Formats: sequence, C-alpha cells, structure tokens
Amino acid sequence: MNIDNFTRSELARRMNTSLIEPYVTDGQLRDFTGKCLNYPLAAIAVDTNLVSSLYVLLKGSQTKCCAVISYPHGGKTLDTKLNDIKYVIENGAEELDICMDYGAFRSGDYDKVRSDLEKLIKACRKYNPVIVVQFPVLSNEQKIKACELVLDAGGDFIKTSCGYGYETKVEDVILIRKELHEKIKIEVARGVRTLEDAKAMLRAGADRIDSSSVLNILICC
Amino acid sequence: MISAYLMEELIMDKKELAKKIDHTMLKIGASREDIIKICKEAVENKFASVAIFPSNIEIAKEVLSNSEVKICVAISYPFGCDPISSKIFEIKGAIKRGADELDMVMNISALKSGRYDLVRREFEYFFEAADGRVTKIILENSVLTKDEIITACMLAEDCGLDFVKTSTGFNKWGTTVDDVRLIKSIVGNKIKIKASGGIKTYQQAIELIKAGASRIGTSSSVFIVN
Repeated sequence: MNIDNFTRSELARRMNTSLIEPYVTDGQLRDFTGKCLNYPLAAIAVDTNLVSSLYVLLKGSQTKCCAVISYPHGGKTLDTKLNDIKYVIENGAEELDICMDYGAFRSGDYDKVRSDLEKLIKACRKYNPVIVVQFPVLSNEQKIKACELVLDAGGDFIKTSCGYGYETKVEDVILIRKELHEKIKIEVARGVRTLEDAKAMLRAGADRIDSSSVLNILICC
Repeated sequence: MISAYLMEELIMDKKELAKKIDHTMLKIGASREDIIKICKEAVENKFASVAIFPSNIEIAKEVLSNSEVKICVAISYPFGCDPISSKIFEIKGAIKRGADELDMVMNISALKSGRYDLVRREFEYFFEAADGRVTKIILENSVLTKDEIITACMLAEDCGLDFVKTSTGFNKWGTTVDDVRLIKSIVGNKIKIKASGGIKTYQQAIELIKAGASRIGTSSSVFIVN
C-alpha cells in the first residue's frame, strides 16, 4: 500500500471530521455537511442532539453518520452512556465514538474500565464502536494498557484523543503497531493539519484520521 | 468574624466567601484521588459543595457522608447537546446516586435558533426531574448575545429554576463582572446567580459577588480562601 500513490478519494475514505460545538444551528450543519459531501469521507461525527439531522443529510452518500458518546470527558455514568447509545442508534448513527471512563483508568481501576467497555461495545457492536482513549496524557505503558483493555473487552478500534489538549504523535501510532501489530485499528485525532501529517500517520499504520482540517487537506491532494 | 457589606465596598472575610464556593473538579480524567482530595479540601474549608462528573458521585459520597458539603453534579457537560430525554435520564441517575445540586448545560442551539418553546420545555422538564434538588442552568455567556442571555434568564425564572450559571468553564470560556451585572439587572432577586469560568483569585470572586453572584464555581477555591 503506497500512501504516496493514494488518490484523493482513497485518502478521503480514511478520513473523518466532526462538528462538535456548544451550538450548531440547522443552517450551519447543512452548510458544513454540504461542503464535506464533495468528498467520500468515511464519517462525520456530531453530538447526540444532531444525529437525526445529520443522518438525513448524509443519506444516500458514502459518508457515515457518527455519534459521539460522553464527549469529551467520558464522565457520564455507564447507564447514561448506554442510554445515549440506544438513542443515537435509534436516530440513525452508523458509527459511534465512545469516551472511556478516563478517571477510572487513571485511578488504575482496570476491572471497572474493562467491565464498562464490555457492556458499551456489546450494546453497539455492529455499529463499529471506536473507543476514545486519551493518549496525550498517558505514558507509553498506559497507552498500551488502554488498547489491551479495549481488546479484552471485545473491541477492535481505538481513537487516540478526544481532540482537546495535546496532539497525537506519529510515534504513538508506531508504538501501538509495534506492541499490538494489526490486532487493533487506530484512528488518530488531533495533530493532523496538513497532507504531509496525514500521510505520515497512515504510513505509520493508522487506519483512520479525524481532523478539523480535512477539507483543506483534501484540496491539496 | 462578621462580614460587612457596604454600598461602596464589599468586604467579605474568607470564611464567608468559602460558604459560597462550589469547589470544582471537572477536568478530563479526574481520578479517584482527585475527587477524594477535593472532598477533603471542601470539608476542611467549609465550601458549599464539590462540583463533579456523575461518574464520580459514589466516590464523593464516601468522603462526604458526615459533612454538610453538598454534591453538585455537571449534567450534559460541557456542550448541552443532548436531547431532553437524555438529560432527564442523566439527572434521575445522578439523584439516585446522591446528587444534591444539578448544574445542567442548556440547549444553546435551540436558544440561538429562536426555538424558545424548546428551551422552555427543557427548563420545565429540568425543574420536574430535579425533584426538589437545587437547579442551576448553565447559559455559556461567552457564546451568547445580550438578548439571548436576557431571554434565557427570563425563561429560567419563569420555570422556577434556582440559579442561572454563567459558564461551563470548559475550554477557557470564562465569566465577567459585566455578565453578572447584566443578569442581575434582569432577574433582580427572583433567581440566584452562579458565576463560574476563569475565577482564580479572591479579588475576582469578590467583584463577582459585588455584581450580584451568590455562588462561585472554581477549581482555585483553596488558593482563593487561604
């Protein structure tokens, strides 16, 4: 797979973007989605309230409607997360980005983290759940541990960051590929602004890239 | 010590100020140790409450079981982009686990789209679901126009909510004395004001109280009162 020979479409299919703000009017969502639909993006992510509107706007296209759960803190209870998962699926979500309980993870409460993840993944397995970890604040050992917990819980896809805070580095992707090989899929968030950034992440082994600069990147391609 | 409130200058001793503080720990990855620490600080300094994520209620309850410090919980935080059914579910769960106060982010999109009917409905459901617990509705002033702030405050007052809160404090969105003054000019004494977001010093806190706030949300609480 030669990244440098990727066509614009091939690159677009590996990219996501999101529209997650405290307020998004119907008009803004329509305009944003309209621009994104110039490319066969993998998905657009929005918060729960916008899922049904986004689903309608994306219907018939190759781009999937992605819902974020307990974003960006992961601080909702398991019950609330499960309730939200049910809601977004009923309203058209085709992919889900679920924030793990980072507090429990940082406290070393791995049994709770794994048990919660098992239930969350089971609730939406056929919708390609991506578990959002928080690489920028974790040590290398913790990064690997977080991925292992996701695998133990029956998941196979992690996202490196919720997008706030420090950036994901190419070294992170290299680390996970080295330790876990192809067992887990990796979506990179935060740290990809240019076409070169995107290619570097894909070369290192990332499967998906979430970037707010996705349209600028694809224009350059 | 007695606190003296003068028309020209507000002098408030730090013990009085402490009683008006919601000691806040809402950072990404707030661990068990972080929560235990703020609860102990709240007990020691006699803060009004600890403000935490719903997933941390049980930990806070363990530490605060014999104290007067309240448990204040952030609902639909920080974007408020959940449907009403989701917010109500979250509130009911939080109350069951031990929440005393509920700080909920409002549906800002509905407000900005002029859907005041939806805003009102959400506030009414909030009031009902809270079942007597203290309700604080978060406006997020830094993204609202003056008219939007005024509308939201009037609706909150109409629906019997206890507090309007100026900011989530997320992503550096802060609060100003002008925000509080504006809200005070609309609501008078009919609804209380919680100022939050970017409050780091005693002086800031006092200025906000002088402008009309009766509760302060901050993570710098210990520094402010010591």
